Amino acid sequence: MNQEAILTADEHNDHPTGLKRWLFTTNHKEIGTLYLVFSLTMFLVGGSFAMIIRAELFMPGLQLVNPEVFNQLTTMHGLVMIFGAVMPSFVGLANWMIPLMIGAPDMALPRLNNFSFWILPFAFLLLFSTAFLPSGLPSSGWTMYPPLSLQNGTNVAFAIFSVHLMGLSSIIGAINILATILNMRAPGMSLLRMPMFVWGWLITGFLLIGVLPVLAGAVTMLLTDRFFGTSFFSATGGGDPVLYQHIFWFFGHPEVYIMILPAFGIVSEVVPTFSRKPLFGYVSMVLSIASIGFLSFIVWAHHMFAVGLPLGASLFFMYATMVIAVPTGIKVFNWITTMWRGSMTFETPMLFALAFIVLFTIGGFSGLMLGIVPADFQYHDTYFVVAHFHYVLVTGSVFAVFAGAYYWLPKWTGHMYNERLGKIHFWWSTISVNVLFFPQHYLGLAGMPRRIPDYAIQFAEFNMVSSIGGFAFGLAQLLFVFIVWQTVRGGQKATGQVWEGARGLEWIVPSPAPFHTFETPPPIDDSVTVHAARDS
Amino acid sequence: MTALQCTLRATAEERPHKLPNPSEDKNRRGAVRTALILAAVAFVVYIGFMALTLIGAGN
Repeated sequence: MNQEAILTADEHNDHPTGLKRWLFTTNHKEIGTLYLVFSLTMFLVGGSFAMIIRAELFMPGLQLVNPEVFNQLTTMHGLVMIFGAVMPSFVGLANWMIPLMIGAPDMALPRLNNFSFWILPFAFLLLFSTAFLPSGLPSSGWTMYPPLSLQNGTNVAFAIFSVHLMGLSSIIGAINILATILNMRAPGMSLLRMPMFVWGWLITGFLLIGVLPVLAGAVTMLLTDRFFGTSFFSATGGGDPVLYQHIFWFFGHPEVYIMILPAFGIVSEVVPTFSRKPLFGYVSMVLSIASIGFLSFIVWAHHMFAVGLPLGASLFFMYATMVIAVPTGIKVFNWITTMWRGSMTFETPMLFALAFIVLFTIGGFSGLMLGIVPADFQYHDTYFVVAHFHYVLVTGSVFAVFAGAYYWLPKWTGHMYNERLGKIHFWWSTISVNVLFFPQHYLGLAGMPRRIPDYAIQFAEFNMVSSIGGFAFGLAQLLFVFIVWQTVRGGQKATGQVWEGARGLEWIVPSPAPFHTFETPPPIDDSVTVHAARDS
Repeated sequence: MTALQCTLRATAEERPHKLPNPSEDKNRRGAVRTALILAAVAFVVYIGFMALTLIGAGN
């Protein structure tokens, strides 16, 4: 073969189209889009599980599903929402925005980026395939606590391998994001000039690499207990089920921050833009994120006070949990101070960011209540806990993703979304999500246990209200899908700047962002991106 | 043009036919080194936690 033939045969000269374009893409924007579409799909799938759960709980008694199916639904809802919806949505946003924000031409390892995404659909196919096994879908909760999970059938093996794949995808994604942030910043983009979203992801990346292997180790040992006769967590063989809880929550608590630190980053981008003021206390925001990341490693046992920890351990984990309120409080203070005397406008991204600040704080306060050892003995495994973590993850993480999606949608598509519909989506979601989750605090305080398909008659009214809120919230998300579809299809052309008060490198490129950006590093000066200098 | 930029242009017509040597691309080299270190950390955590549990559980 002569030289010319070799060059002609080079498949890289082709422009793949159709399915091949998406299968083989190495472009950060396309991979970001893949992640976001995948997470939206999983959000709707996990949401449909939630709709069935709320329909079953609409009134006392068993109406729609039997208890085993109910357990399968709660398990799958948790796994799908955490590993399929929230985490990939932030990875999608990172893929799209981090290279644009730091002036890099792409992610540092583009082919690995493609690989880390395409693992995910197969992981979830594997998980869903358990529906066709005699033992059905996994039903021991997303935490997969032994001994219950060891009593399941062969679906445990599928679920564990699936969790391994999801973890692998996240670790590879985190490695890529860290390698990008640490090596690909444009000259002049020092660490303390980076946008807060990038900072949020820098810390999140380290958390992912620190704790996901721990989850992988825990479920590997679960697998050997179930199928290879070991007794890590089986009391009958001399093992200890509580040991699993320690290892799981060593992963599980930082996991909560993995799902909230990028959200903090998004809110820290949106609030200054629509307040037309620089972010207040940039350096303290960075230090707060880093402190929260560190503290997340030393509070895991507050999830398991009820197992009977030694008094000293209980006190340590209680006080360590309380300390997290300090950096979180600093962040809330800084967001409010950023808005103080700003020229605020209330476009949809800002509305979602404001709702985040108020409602996430409610979730934070109920978290403090749960962190108090004697109080936790009352609240543990009740609907109070369900209310708490849904305020953190829905009105926290998911609302921040909505804020980010509306904020950057014009940059991605080149079109402005329909502002009126966006506001309807916001108000509909915000009212319904509170109708959904706020009554659950009272249910928990009154003693209703979580993960049950039936309940005493005294809980009927609040459950009915909660279910009505749930159906309304689910319906509101179909409107979001319509808004995104409408924006992708067309609409008013967006400018490169998009938002009057927006600062940062992503706003100096045209909308939609071209396929290749920053092949030549952009000049970095204070007028474009320097949050620290803007502070002074 | 750096090796990374060539990789990014893997689907573009203007991709140059001769790739520069990746070892001459500082960003690329640094990124690969960072990725390898992080992957090693993840692997050590994975094995380390299982080993600690093994010792702790007395298996």
